[in-house]
Amino acid sequence: MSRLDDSLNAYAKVRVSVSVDTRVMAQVRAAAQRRSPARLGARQLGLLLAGALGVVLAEASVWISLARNVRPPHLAPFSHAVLQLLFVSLRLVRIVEQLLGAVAAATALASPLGSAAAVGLLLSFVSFMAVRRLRRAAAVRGL
Amino acid sequence: LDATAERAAIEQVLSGDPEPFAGIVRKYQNLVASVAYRMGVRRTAIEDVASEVFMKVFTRLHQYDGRYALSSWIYRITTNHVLDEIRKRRHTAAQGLDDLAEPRDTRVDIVGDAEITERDELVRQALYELPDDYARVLILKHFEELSVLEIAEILNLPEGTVKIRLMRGRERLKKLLERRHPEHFAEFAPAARES
Repeated sequence: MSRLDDSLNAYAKVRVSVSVDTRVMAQVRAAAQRRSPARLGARQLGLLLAGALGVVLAEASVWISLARNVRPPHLAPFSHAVLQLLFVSLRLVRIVEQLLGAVAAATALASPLGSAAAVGLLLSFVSFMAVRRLRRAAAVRGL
Repeated sequence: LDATAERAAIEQVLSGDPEPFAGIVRKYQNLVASVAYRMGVRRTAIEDVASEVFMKVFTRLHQYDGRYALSSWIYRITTNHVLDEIRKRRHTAAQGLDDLAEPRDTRVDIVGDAEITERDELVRQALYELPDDYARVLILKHFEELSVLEIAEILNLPEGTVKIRLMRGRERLKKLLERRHPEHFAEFAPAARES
């Protein structure tokens, strides 16, 4: 065996003892926690759902109130109200999205299918309300 | 933790319970620390490097397919991690791994390093200047005393390729040493070889 081999093999005899298991496990637990976010408690979930329901009701009441107040002779206020309604609706839709997102992240809705279903429900609701509003407006114009 | 318990622990970790990973860490922490130290990581940085290696093992555990022993897979992660760190830090600050660690109390016990000579250290430093392909096989062969078959398994290479890289790596290492430190390695010079 050459002297080069002697030098290279000199390190093979070195052995090191450490104790990093406590430290590693603390990091591992933190990483595992990040992978699966903490589930919301029943109270938090209830609050989120109540908030989402409140926003939905507010949205519905805005649409209903507009539909009830629209009169053909008042065209300018009508346009103004539609614009205002669009702004309010956009805000409300964003809030609903955020609330549903938080609920979805904490429940089985976190799956792609669940997210798609939540978005579908939201779109259905908005479409339904829009159709209702258009029908009501058409009826009002027909008066 | 025998092989069966090890497999069960891996499955539990993969199913979302991180606690059995502690058994894997306890079983292989000395192996990882020894490999890191032999590859040039200094005493003050060993715990940091070992922790980083185990975090890589944890995050990549789903990639372990069980074809080879878990120790081989951890070997590969450790050698790749240390070589990457050495090269990264050499490019950024020309510092060794030891210079970047904060001096602090450590529970690292090292056995057998008293016999390391200055010449041995020069050989090790020169080893890291070789291309990765050669450095890896030489480290596993000489520092870890693994067979060609074991090296082939760890690096996922044919045995013939490992043998060729060992031979070429040694030749390159000799040339590098005789050029860089002729006072220590004159015996590698062509004239010395011919005589």
